[in-house]
Amino acid sequence: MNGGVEAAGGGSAVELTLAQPIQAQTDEQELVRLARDGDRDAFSRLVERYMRRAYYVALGLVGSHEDALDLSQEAFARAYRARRRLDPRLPFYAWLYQIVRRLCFNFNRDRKLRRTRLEEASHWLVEQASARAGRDPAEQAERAERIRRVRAAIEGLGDRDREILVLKEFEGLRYREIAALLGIPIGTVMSRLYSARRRLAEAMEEDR
Amino acid sequence: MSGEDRQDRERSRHLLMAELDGELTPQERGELERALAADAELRAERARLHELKEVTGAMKLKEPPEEIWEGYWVSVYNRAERGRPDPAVLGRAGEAVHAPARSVQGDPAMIVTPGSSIAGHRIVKTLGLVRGNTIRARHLGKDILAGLKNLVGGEIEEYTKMLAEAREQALDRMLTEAKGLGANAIVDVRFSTSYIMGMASEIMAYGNAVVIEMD
Repeated sequence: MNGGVEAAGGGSAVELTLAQPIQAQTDEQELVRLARDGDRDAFSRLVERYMRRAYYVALGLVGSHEDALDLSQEAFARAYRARRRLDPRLPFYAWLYQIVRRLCFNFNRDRKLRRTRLEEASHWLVEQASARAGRDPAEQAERAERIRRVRAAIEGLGDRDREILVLKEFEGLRYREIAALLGIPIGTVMSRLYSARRRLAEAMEEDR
Repeated sequence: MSGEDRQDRERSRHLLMAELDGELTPQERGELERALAADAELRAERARLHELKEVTGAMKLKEPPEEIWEGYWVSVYNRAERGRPDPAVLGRAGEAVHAPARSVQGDPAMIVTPGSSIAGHRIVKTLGLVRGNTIRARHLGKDILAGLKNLVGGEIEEYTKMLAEAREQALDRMLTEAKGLGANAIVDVRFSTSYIMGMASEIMAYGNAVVIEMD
């Protein structure tokens, strides 16, 4: 889930190493500036840099591979069409994220209106390091049940609760990064996280 | 509860979160410990949240197949330039379903046709088979609706839409592959459908990637 992975190839004028964050920052500013001025190659490099992050966050928010792929690509496509509004001084991902989350929230809302639940969506969450896990069938069944419960509980949460949990638990962002992404104070991040976790715990206890 | 109590409670909750996520400063740790010592309810809450964190902390989002990244940008670009609304994003019940037929707008270089020749052009190079597929799971709720339609007759919109989306996606993937080969047209394009298990079907688009020139 590394958003900073540099794409191979390219060979454009802004081919820079990303060893230091400062370097990465100026490199990104340059890419954003070029993309805004109509350089397609620069935009494609921004896509390559952030496609994983956008996909994963969409997966966390909507819970299905196909939809996460569609929605994240749609977000980039909209960003591309609106690229003249890009501001090189601001982080590209923060701008993109606003589009991703809006698309995902709308998608969830429409899904609720359609009153459908995605049966096929049920495998978006897995246990870390499940490869090293034992082969004991009882243990395996227990693990599968644990994942199912967490998944069901998260799917039952509201969008905002789900969002804050995804950013913290699955994207592993620090509080200040979440605050910057959502444009809210750190105190609010902690309050939202607290409420979301509490509701998640309650949902899981009910399911027991 | 007085305003001050409420503030204290909020502060304690923030400290609990910061502890859980490893963002507690040493001073805050002291503060949290004092608050915990004085409040049994807070201790119980802390235990509960730690238990939860242990469960969620052991999980991660499922990784997609690695190959999705290869055609990612091309799909984004096609989508942006074609300017078509995405059915998965906009497709609400009752809305018109996208026709799967396409002219590849914004991408004048690529012609996709079910025929084996293109008027006004000749094929100068055959690059071989290209294909794109997608596998869609059927939906229990939709199945029930569709089952009802079976009784009363009429179009089963639930599936029309799903398959239209699937065909678009299969086409997209086929185009990506053809572009990768340096083709500027695909001829003899066909769709095929097959069933995998009872609940999932595969839609595949395939064709012959070629390079064409104007006559």
